[in-house]
Formats: sequence, structure tokens, C-alpha cells
Amino acid sequence: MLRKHYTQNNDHIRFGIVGCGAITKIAYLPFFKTSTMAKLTCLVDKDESVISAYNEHSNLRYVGTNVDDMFEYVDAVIVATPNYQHFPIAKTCLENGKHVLCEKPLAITSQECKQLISIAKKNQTKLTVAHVRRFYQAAKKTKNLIYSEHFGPIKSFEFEEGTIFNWPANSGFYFDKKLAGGGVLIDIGVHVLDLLLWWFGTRLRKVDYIDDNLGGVEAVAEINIQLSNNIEGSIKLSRLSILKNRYNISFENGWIEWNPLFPKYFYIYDYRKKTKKTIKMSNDLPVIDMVEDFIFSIKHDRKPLVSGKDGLQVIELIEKCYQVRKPLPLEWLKKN
Amino acid sequence: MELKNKKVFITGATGFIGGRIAERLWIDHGIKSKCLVRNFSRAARLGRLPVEMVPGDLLNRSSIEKAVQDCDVIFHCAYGNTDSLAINRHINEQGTKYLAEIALRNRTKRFLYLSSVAVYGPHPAEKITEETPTQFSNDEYGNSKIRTERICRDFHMKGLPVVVIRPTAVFGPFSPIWTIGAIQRVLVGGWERVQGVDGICNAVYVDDLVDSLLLSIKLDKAIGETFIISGLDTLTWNDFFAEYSKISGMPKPQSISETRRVLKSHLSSILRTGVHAARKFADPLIMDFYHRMKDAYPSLTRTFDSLIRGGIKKNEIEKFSWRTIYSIDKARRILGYSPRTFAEGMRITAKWLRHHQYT
Repeated sequence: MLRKHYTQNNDHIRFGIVGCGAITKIAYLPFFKTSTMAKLTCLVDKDESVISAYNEHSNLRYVGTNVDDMFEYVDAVIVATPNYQHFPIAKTCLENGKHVLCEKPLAITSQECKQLISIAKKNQTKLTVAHVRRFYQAAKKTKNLIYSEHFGPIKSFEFEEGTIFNWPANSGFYFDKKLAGGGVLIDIGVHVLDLLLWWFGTRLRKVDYIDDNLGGVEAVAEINIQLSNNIEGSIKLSRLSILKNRYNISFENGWIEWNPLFPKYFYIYDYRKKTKKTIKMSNDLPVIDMVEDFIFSIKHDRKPLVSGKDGLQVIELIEKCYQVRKPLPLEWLKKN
Repeated sequence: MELKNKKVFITGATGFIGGRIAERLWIDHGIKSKCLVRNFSRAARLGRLPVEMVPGDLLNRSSIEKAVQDCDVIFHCAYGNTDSLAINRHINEQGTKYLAEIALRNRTKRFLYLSSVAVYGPHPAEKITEETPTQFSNDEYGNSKIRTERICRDFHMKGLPVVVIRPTAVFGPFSPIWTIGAIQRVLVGGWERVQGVDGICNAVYVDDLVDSLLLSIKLDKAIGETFIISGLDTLTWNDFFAEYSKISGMPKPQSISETRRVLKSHLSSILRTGVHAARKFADPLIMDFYHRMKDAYPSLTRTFDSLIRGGIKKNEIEKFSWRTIYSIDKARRILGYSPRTFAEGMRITAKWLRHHQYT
């Protein structure tokens, strides 16, 4: 039996992080500085120059370049490497009986996702994906409003998310299809599609997809989706310009809207009362909530909010989009 | 020299003009360029193309050496844009020296340097040609371009097939100043017809500039030459910004007197100082309030934005009053350069602006 049972609340889960890039610095290291439920014991990065900066943190049990060397000191691993390394690293961790929180996307192909799910199941380890948007208060409120049918059945949806790409990327992996798995669709799109599937279920009837990829990876993508109950909607994503940045869902008796980049305010329009309401959401701490959800799932042996299967469904939808892809008609890019 | 099957290296390819060169080379000629990338955070546009991204900067000699060794053509568009003038100067001049040295050693067939009409200084004559002397001034951008041109010319004397291109105000998709900056300016009322301010705008559409660069490769007689590249039409800055107002659905820029402009400018300056000071102490609260107001009262916040932005500033008056015309006769004669009309360039630009939700 590889699984360890955590019966006492004061048991610390020992964590290792693989990949010491921007997301680790911005999101995960601050979490472990304050967490009372988990302890960071290992840091791994294949780049020695990156990892050498952490050598001074002598309270860690292992700081180095070899994933295998950390296993004796950890119960769970956060995989925060470039996309193409998610699968091999998560696989090794799961095979060694470690619980895995994998940065999004879970892997870059559905085959790889399925393998990870199967290994996690076999070894009775938890597998979750950093679909962090689910932990926004606004995302949860949206789900509740859909399921309570407060405004009646859904009529349509319109999601737009785009900012000018400025992620502090150290390498060009984001722009290499083999390494990243795609462009804006597998980057921001993972979050948007995960919410779509979480809110509406997976009853897809038809997907149309266009993007501006010219032989590299797409920076602008547009998806039209038809769900089996005749709900239609569109998704626009961009790395090149600031879009309206809104998730809008129309119901029979009203609409709701919020800005994914500024999810503090939640707007509701009720057709029956003819009123628009702005609800101020409580402060979001999505990364803390996500890692704590993962820790609870380990301690109490329950399903994390985002399962490996959720990660798989998003990748399957992305693969579907790429299969039906048509080029975005852009006059300024035409042959001169 | 024909471009077919040629290997190309581009510096500054994550920028506006370098990015368009990489696009045109791929779309029109099927060339997968090698592109020097200093900052991957800026590479999303370039990332759409099947280019080879070479990590490094102009001062990283070893990475350039390796990348350039089998290249026939170099487009040198990069320039230092840090906050330090000294660092920028070092990047521009030392970086160009390294690049030209490596190119000379590798017998590169064409070295195209993207300069600027800023080399003529801030007080240009009414008619400028390639024969007009360049002028050092207090504009360090223009000064650096003059020095870098000289480096390129020195290397030409040593045998490097250099062509220098001096574009005017380049507009079109992704132009940070003369398209994105211009539309953002008119959207907050940042342009007005000030009495007595009616200078000539020498605007050139980005694809015309790229055409001139590609023609400079095709024609061997371009080697060693310098070309001014501007657009077809002679129009004023008022015409230029009026077009952006039109495509953004904004009312025509208002005519105001110089006295009113000065008063507005003072008012906006006081408001700006007040807002900056307030944001220092209570930024989240103020921005929260601003976003809520923007949602509830968009026209009111637009008026406020316009007051904060102000119209034409004092230090811009002179620039927007010049009656200078940059001649493209030499480029027409030697390269067969034939730019499109301003209207055609703006037609495509307007579509791009709509697609990117600027309008």
C-alpha cells in the first residue's frame, strides 16, 4: 500500500515543487511561507543556475535537479514545469506513490492525461490540476446560479478574455507547439474551457474554432460552441490585445457577468424586476484555496474539486478545437 | 538578389516593424526567419510564425555569432529601449558593431539597417532628402541613430553590403505610437485642432516600409545607399488624427485657441497631480471606485479621462507644427518604391483596430 493515511489534523503534508519558474515564485512559495497544513521540503529544477538561488534555504531537505532524489522527503508534489514536462514528471511522481498537483494543462495530449489518471487510480494517489479559476468566489456563484435556475434556463453565453501577453517567460517554450501543446487556447483557454465544462457539463453538440496560427502557435482564438440543449455561445481569447474581459451568461429571466481579471464585482440583471445589481465579492485567495483543497483531499481521502478527469476533459475539448480548426480571416496578414 | 531560399536573421523581431518583416517573409516568401529574442514576454505575435527564436540580445556575441553564420540577409531593427540613455547607446552602437563584424566575416549578402528620420534632428528644413545633413540634437534617439548609421557605413567601406532605411511615422497594425497610441489619444480627446498648429504628417503604412526593405534586397544597386521612406500622400497631423477619430466613431476633433489649450493643459496637469497623489495613498479604493463608475457611467468617466489626459501638450506643439516634407524621390527612382495611399493603409488599419477591440 503506497498511500499514507493522515488521520490527525496536525500532520503536515510534505511538499516538493518541481519547476522553479515564475508561477512557483508568484504563487506557490508564498503559500508555503504561511501554511500551517503543509511544509515545503524539496525544490527541483532542471536548470542548475535557477536552483542554485535556492540552495541557501537550508531548511529544505533537497534542492537539486533530480526529481527521483526528492521522493523520500515528500508526500505530495506540485508540478510547475513547462507544459511538455507535466506528463513525464507527474507520471514519475504518481508511480512513486506521491500525490500530484499539476499546473495546467494536466498534459498536452488526452492520451497522456488518461495515463496519469490511470496511474493515480492504481496507486491510490490524488491527482489534481491547477484550474485555479474554480476557486474564485464569482465562479462558484455562477455555478450556484446556473444550478439553482434562479433566472430560468440558460439561453446563451459569451466569454472574452484577452490581455497583451507579458508573462515573465524565461524561454521560448510558450511559442513552441511541441513543448506548449498550443498557444492561447491551451494557455488562458484551459481556464475558460474548464469553467465552461464545470458550469454547463460536457454535453457538446458542435464546436467551431478559428485562430490566427500561421505555423507557430495561435495568439488569437475564437470558439463557437453548441451544447446539446440548444445553448449556444462564443469564446474569444487573445494574447495580443485587451478584450472586454467578461464572462456573460444570458438566462431566460436575466443575465450575469463578471470580469475574470477583476473578479471582485459580480453583475446581475433581472429582466423580471428590471434591475441591475452589483455584488461585491469577498477577497479571493484562489491559490491558497486550491492547495488547501488538495491537502484536504489527501488528509480526508476525498476527491479534490478539480480531478484528473476534469483536466482530461479540457484537453479533449482543446484537441477537438484543433481538429476542426479554420484560419481566422485577417486581411492585414494576407499575401501582399 | 532574389529572396527565394535565402536565410534571414532579424533583430527586433518582437517589435512592431521587425515583427511585420518576419510575417511578410513567411507569408509572401515562405521564409522561416531566425529572430533574436531578448524578452520572451513580448514574443506572442512572433510566436504565431514558424520562426526560429534565438534567445539573447545584441550584446550577446556568442548567440548572434551562432545564429548569423549561415544567414544571407540581416534585418537590423533592434534598438535599446531601457530607461538609461547610456545603456541604450551601448546596446545600439556596440551591439551594431558586433552584428556588423560577424556579418562581414560571414559574408552576409545584405545588411539592412532600420534607422529613422529622427537623424535630421528636431528642427528639420521644409524639404528633406537623403542629401540633407543629419543633425545632432538633444534627442538621444536621433543621435543614436546617426552614430549607428555611421557604424554601418564604416562597415560598408570594409565590404559589408549595407542599406540604410530612414522611415517617417510608421502606422498600421501593431504600431505602438502612430496607431495604438493615436487611437487611444483620440478616444480620450487627446487631439484637438489648435489654431496655428497644422504641421505636415509624413505617415507611411508599415507594409510600404517592408516593401522598401524587400526591394533593397532584390536590387543590388541599393547597396551602400540610404533611403527615406514615407507615404504617398501629403497630409497634416489634423488630417491624420481626424481619420482615427472617424474610425473610432468619435466626433471630429474640436478647434480651440492657443489660450484655451494652455488653460486646459494647466487644468489637466493639476488633475493628474491630484490623482497620482491620491492613488499613492488609496490606490485600490480609487481604482475600485473608478471601475464601478466606468461600468455605470461610461460617458462621465470618458470625460474625466479626457480631462486627465489633456489635449496637445506644450512640448508637442513644435513637432506638430513642422511643415517638413520628406522626399521619397530617391526610393522611387532607385528601388521602384510605390507606396499605397493613406486611405488604403487606414482602411486595413481600421479593420485591425476593430478586430483588436480598440474601437
